[in-house]
Amino acid sequence: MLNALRSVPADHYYLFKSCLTCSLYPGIEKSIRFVLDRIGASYTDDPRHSSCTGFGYHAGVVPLKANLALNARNFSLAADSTDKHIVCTCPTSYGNLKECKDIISSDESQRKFVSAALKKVGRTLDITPSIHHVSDIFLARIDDIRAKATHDFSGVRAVTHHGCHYSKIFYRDVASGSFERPTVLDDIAKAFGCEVLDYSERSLCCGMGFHYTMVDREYPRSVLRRKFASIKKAAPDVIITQCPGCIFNLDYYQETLSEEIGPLDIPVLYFSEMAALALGADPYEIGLDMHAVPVEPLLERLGIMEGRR
Amino acid sequence: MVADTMRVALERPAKAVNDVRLDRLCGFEKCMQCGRCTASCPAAFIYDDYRPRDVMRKLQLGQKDTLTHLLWRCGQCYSCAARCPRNNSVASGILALRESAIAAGLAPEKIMDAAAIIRKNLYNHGETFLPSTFDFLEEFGPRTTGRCKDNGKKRVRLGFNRHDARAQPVPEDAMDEIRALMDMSWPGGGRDA
Repeated sequence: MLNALRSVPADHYYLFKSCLTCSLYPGIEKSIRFVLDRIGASYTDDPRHSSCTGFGYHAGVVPLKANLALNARNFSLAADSTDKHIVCTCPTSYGNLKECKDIISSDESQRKFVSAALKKVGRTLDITPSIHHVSDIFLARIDDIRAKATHDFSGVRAVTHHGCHYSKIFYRDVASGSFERPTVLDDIAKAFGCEVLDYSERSLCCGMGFHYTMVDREYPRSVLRRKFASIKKAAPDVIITQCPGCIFNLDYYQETLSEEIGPLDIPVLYFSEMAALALGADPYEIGLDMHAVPVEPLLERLGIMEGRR
Repeated sequence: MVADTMRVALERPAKAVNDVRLDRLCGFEKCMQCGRCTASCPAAFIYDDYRPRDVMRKLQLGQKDTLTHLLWRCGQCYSCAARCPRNNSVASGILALRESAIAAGLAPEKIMDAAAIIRKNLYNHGETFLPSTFDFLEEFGPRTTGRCKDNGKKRVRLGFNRHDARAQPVPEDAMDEIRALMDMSWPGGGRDA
């Protein structure tokens, strides 16, 4: 087992919800809980934690001090919990929390500032909770998850796309493969029977770009033109992702990009949606009908839609 | 004035500024102008005037004011950071420069509009992005619009709040802490949000 994977906690997760996931694909959050419940994991779903601010921080509009202060509070909530290992849905939360922890522990003036700020709201600075992405947890517990599977994805040809903020900021911490070629999602997809295909632009960003998504969507469109030209050559049945920004981009832009580069219509699944489906989740209960590119034809092919509405 | 194509050694590196992201994470003093960052950068692929290597050069020369119009070119993917042989991060330096540009009133108007939306989302809900922040569905074509126009109702069916990102919004006493921390840490305060 890889060192990075060995450091993944066996249990006791403090689930760190993602504002982008909950806003655009709330079913992904449900699919994560569905799988954790099925394997009997213990976790805390604390409504008190705030957004990590990462979407705004990387857009350049949330000041560093606000980012540090709000996440210092989030750390203190996890530290007080019985489930102390922070597990993020979103790679930007994962990268941003790690960066906040790094800056708070190494920069004395920032540490003094956040410590004093927390004191004023009645909290104590404690940055000891560890930080993980939920795909690392699924990979570390893949045998537990697979043991509960009722469906598999044999014969499904998949490509994977890892989030940049998972693999490129704290690039030594990738749990499988390397930052140039992370294979966390490949390992998970293979565990459910997928055949994983290669494509030349594997490591190219999805182009979400934070402020770009709010103010100038020509940038994501240009990056995705390159990305999809490469994915199209591999002709996969499904794209597997681990990031709410990436799934939004890879899913929503397909219809209009098809007009430029030819038909696409490739369903995009979050790895936790695939795992929940393998474990028998009702596709509608995990919101698969909220996806832009229809997932239903793939599910029908796999016999997962039978008896469903 | 150094031409974009000319690479010269520095007699004296530019003085550091007071932001850990420029002083430590960015690492521009260590940059040897190899250009791996520019070769990796999706924004440099699109915009002829944006090259991460040149951002580092301008920082070395103490010419950060010449970068103001380029700061929002970066898409924050950190490919530059992952590929740098000297463990530098142009993307981190960009964040420090964006924060000082906003403080100096030098950010584009659209960025300031986005900043106002995000601050309001955080101050009112404790969330950076809300369902209502996604207000451009129609751009994605008629089929996507048709499929996703009722996603607001579908999220309620899944047990989520219609207007908040969460199933269970951040409780009010927690919001009091979040607002107090924002008031202390966000220049201009959060109260006018």
